Amino acid sequence: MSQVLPRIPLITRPSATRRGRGNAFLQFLAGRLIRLILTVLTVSVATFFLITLLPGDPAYSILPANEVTPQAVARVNRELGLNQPLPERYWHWLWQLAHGNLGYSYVLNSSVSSQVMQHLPVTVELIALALLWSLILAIPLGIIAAYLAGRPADKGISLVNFGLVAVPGFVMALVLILIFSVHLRLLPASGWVALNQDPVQNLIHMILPSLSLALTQQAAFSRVLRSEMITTLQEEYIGMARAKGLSTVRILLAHALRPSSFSLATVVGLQIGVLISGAVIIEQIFSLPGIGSLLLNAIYSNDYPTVQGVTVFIAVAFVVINLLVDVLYRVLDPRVRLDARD
Amino acid sequence: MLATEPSVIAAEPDAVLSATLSRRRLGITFWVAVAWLSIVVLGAIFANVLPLRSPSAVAPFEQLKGIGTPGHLLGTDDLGRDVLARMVFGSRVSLIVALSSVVVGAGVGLPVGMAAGYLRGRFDAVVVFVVDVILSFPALVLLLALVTFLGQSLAIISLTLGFLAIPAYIRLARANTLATASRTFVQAARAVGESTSRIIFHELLPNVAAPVMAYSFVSMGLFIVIEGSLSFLGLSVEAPVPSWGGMIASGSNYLLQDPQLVLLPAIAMLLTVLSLNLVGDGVRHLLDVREARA
Repeated sequence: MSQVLPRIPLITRPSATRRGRGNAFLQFLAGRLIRLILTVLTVSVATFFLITLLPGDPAYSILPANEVTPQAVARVNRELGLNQPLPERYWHWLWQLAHGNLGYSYVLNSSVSSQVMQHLPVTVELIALALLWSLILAIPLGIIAAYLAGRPADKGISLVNFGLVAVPGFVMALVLILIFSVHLRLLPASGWVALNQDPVQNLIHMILPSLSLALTQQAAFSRVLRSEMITTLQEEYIGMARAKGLSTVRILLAHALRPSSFSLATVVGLQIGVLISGAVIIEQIFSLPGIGSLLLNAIYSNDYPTVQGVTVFIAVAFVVINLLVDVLYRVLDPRVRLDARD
Repeated sequence: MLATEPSVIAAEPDAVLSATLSRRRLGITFWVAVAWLSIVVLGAIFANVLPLRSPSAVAPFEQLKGIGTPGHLLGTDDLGRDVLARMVFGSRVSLIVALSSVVVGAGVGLPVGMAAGYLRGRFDAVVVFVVDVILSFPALVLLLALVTFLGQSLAIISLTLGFLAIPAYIRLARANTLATASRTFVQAARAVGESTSRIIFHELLPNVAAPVMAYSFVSMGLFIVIEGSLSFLGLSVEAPVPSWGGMIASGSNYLLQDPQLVLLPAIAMLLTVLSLNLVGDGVRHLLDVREARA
C-alpha cells in the first residue's frame, strides 16, 4: 500500500536524529520496565495480603472442610510457612511466584499454575475472537459514520451504540441465547469442544460467547474510529486525493483508515481489561472451561489459594499486555513523540 | 462496560447526541431519563408503603405465572414470588451501590485528585502510582477477589465498589486540576496573593467539580452493571434479598418458557443505566464541560 505522508510530527527538534530517537526509545522502554516491575511487586503484595484477610487460622480455610484434621493443618502450615512472620511468608510466596509457582490448591489437589495453563487457551481464544468480531463490526461502522457524519446513518449508528454500551455482558449473552439457541435453534447455548478435537465445532461453540463480548466492545471502538476519522478526512492530503479523482472507497480505506486507527489501537489495549472481566462472566454462562470459570469455581468452593494465584496471574498478564500495547503503539505510530516526556 | 476508569466511551460526549441536545436545550430524552430515574428512586424509597406484595413471600401454587395474572401484574417467579415487588425492592441494592460509588469514589477521589494535581511533586507521584496499581487489576477480578476474602454483606460490597470507584475520580479530578491550574485566572489569583485555600475552593473547585459531576452519573451506571454482574454470579448480597442481577440469574433457568423473568429485570437495569448515561451527557452539556485529558 502506497503510504501517504501522515500529519507532520508535532515536535520536530533538530536534535531528533536517528540516534537520538533510538536513545529516547530505550529510555522510554527502561522507564516503563521499571514501572512494570514496581507495579507487579505492589500487585503481588496486595494479592498476598488477601489471604490474611480471612478470619481465623488460614489453614482451616484453605483445606476442604472434610479434610480438616490436626495433621493436615500442620502440613499446610508447614508447606505454606504459615507459622513464620508475615514478611518472611511474603518473601517465600514471591520467590515461588518468580519461579512460576502460583501456589497449591488443596481442593483440586493440583498446582495452581498447571490449572491456569490448562484453562488459559480457552480464555485467550475467547478474547481473541471477541476482539476480531468487534473490529470486523467497528471498522465499517466507524468509517460509514465518519463519512456520513451528521446524516441519518451516522445518527442511527450512534444511537444503537449508545444503547449497546448500556447493556451488561451477561444480559447480552442471555438475549443472544434466547434468539439464536432457544428460538432459532441455530447455535449451542453452552458447552465446549477442544480446538484440536474438532476445530469447526470449537468455533461454532465460540460464536455466541465471543459475540456477546464483541457487541458492546465494538461500540467503544467504532466511536473512537469515527471521531478520529472525521479529523483525518479534513486533512489536506485527503482533499488532494479527492482532487486526483480517486474513488471514495479507495480514499477511505487506503488513505484515511491507517492514520485514523492509532487511537483505536490504544483503546483496544485499554479494553483488554474490560474483556478479561467480561470473559469471567461469559465463560460461566456458556460453561467454557477458561480462566474465568477456574476463578469462579474456586470462589464457589472456597479454594483460596487458587483465587489468589489466578488473581495475581490475571493482574500481571494484564500489566504486561498494557506495556506491550504501549510499546507497539510507539513503534507503529510515525507521529509518536519519543522525545516528549511520558 | 466494566472498566472503572473514565475511558473514552465514558469521558467523551457523544458528538451526535450533544448536537441534538444543544439544538433542543436538554431535549425530551433527557427528561424521559430523569422521569425514569425518579420512578426508580421513589419506588426504592417507598417500597414498603407501596401497595406491593411481599418480595419474599413464597406461594407454592402460584409459580411461574405470566405477565398480567390477576394479583401479580408482572407475574411470578419459580417460587411463586411477585416479580413486580421483587423488581421494586431489588432496585434498592442497585441504587445503594450506585450511591456509595459516588459518595466514596468522589468523596475520596475529588480531594485527593485535586491535591495531587495542585501540589504536584512527590505526593502526586505516589498518588498516580497507587492509582495505576489499582487499575492494573481488571475491575471484576479485583472485586471478586476482595469479596471472596472479605465476605458478601451489602455494607462490604458497597464499600468495596466505592473503593474501586476512587481511582477514576482521582484521575479525572487530577487532570482537570492540572488543566485549570495553568489557566490565566488561577495564575492571576496567585499573583494577586490569594490564599491557597481560596484558590482551591473558589477558583479550582468549580471547574473541577463540573466534569466530576457529569462523570458521576456515568459512573453510577457502570457500578450498577458491576453489582449486577456480581449478583448474577451469586456473589453479591445473599439469597432472600432481591436484586436485579440475582433475578436475571434465577430467571435464566426458565429462558424457554418464561423469558420475561430475565427480560423484565434486564430491561429495568438497562433503562436505568441508559438514563444515567443520558443524564450524565445532559449535565455535561449544561455545564459546558470541556474534557481535560490526563
